[in-house]
Amino acid sequence: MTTMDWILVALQGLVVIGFIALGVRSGGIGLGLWGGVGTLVLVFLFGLDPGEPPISAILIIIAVISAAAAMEAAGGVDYMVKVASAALRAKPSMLNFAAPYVSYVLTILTGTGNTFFSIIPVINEIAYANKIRPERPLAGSTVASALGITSSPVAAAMATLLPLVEIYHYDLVDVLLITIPASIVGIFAMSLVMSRHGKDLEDDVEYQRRVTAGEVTPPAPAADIVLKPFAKRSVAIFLAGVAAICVFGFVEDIRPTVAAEGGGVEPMSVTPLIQMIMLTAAALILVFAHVKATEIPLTSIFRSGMVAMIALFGIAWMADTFIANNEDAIVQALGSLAENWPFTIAIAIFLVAGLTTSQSAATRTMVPLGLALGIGAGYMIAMWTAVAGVLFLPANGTQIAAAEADTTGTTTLGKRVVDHSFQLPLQVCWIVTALVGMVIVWLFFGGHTPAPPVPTTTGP
Amino acid sequence: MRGGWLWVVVILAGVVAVTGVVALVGRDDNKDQTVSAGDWADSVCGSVAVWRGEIESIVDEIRQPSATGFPRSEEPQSETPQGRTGLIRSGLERTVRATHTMITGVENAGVPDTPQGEQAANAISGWADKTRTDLEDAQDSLDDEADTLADAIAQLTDAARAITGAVTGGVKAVADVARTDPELAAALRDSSTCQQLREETTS
Repeated sequence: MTTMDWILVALQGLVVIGFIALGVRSGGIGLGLWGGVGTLVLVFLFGLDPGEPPISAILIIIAVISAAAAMEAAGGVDYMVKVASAALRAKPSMLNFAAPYVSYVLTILTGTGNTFFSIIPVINEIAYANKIRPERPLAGSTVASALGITSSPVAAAMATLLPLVEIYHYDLVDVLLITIPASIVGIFAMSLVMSRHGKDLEDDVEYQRRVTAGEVTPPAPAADIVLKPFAKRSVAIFLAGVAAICVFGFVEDIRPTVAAEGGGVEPMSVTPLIQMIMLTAAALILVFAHVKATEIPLTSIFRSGMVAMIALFGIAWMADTFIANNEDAIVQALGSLAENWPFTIAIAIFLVAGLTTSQSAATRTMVPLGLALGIGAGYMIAMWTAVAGVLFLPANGTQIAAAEADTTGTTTLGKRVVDHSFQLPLQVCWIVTALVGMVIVWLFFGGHTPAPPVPTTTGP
Repeated sequence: MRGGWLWVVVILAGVVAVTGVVALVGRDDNKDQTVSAGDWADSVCGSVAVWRGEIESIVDEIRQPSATGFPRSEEPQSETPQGRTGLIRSGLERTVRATHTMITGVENAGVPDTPQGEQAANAISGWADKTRTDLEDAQDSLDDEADTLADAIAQLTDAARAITGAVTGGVKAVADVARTDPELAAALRDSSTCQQLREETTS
């Protein structure tokens, strides 16, 4: 690439950052609208090919929000708040620890962070009802959900990693033995930091402003919540839907098969399954919890979900337009950085994930490079957890949905693009996870490779 | 505000700690160092096996773009001639990068501690230098805008030829050093990594 090419890439990057900043300042659907303007500038002014809008994520938000809003209309969210408040009565701040682990497990079981969309409104409502600053559990859970990809045997990024490290005698079990314990410690450290992060909700200036302006109403004590008659039923249906997604996500063999492009059949992807199951859950709540369809759009979950959808549409489209046209340049630049200074490989993985918003792209480009540079496969697996860096910029669906769900205004997408609510938990989590992972490799894998498999004998 | 800056300092310290740990324990680079023939064979075969894994993943993505993360639109771009050549171009660019990475890995294998080790390392290094130049030419060719579909296909063919040349040249370089050095030949035959690579290739 010539110097002029690099200048153009830098200018395009500035356009993306500038329009994200403008969108964040506008807030709400303004984020999506400015993202659309940014896409227009990239296409018309710089001549880039338009990227793909995040259709799958938008459809998942529609389906999940339909089910969650139906549950809210049936009083199910009140019921969950009541149950969770009773469980957390002794120590409400435990939510800051419990919510990230639940999100992490959901991602492990389904191999996609998209399942996390379904519990965002629930975490937010429980936090608010217990007067916990929603930013703490919401931001922590979003990061834990992204990290779960590196612990999931059914994730696409794991499928990309395994062929690269198998030759060094690391199989799926070895990878999980490194990533899961490291992630558990990383999430704990992150939750600990987050449980002390920011002012308590009642002291937060922005929250107080919103209460005074009548934009939000203070939470009612859980004991005062009067449950609707079919609230429990709606919760049962919603949770059954989430459980079904987990089962289908984890057990590929029970999924319906679809025609594979190269011939034959293959299991259906989890993404359309999430959409089908969540829409079905919403429909079942209508029937069995006696909710009128007209009540659903009036719920707060529906409104915040629709705002999140539009925000994601514009921002993610702009980001994809930039990335699809410049991925090679980004990878080349960061690859050169790692090649010249191999000790920066973890940072390079983190930045490639962040700037391409793709964990698979970071895996397939940076892990082979690290191995070629002579970094032990075990250490590469430990550092691979840095692909959680996809949350570095606030252009990810889960980040936008979490920020929009939080009506108190504590969860923000930042004013200067990188100063968003997810940055601190993200940095703490990936650094601790990578360090613990490397210690695990050093202690239990001899810092190098496990013993080669014993050749099997086929009898005399 | 003070708390915010404190966190920035803590995070920077964490990043420094990660890079420090990698610098201390993570690296096993043997470039220009003398290593045993077994370690040399393990490194060479490991690099080739990682490259093979990458190529498999690239081929999968070209064959089934929707199944491997490429978004499917109403009219899939990969089903138009331009879209298909675009997908192949992207695959070839990744293959060039993967091959470049493999060469780095083979070069970093070091100098085998055998009678002909020095010559073997020089032969591999010569192949690596030549191949890097060929791959850079192929990448430059792929970067150029093609005016017609025929031009695009010609570019792709040239790039594919450069990649094929890199691989066959590498195989020949390793075969040549094995022929001149029986100890290296034995190491390549007996290394568990090379055995696994052979099993994967024949399965």
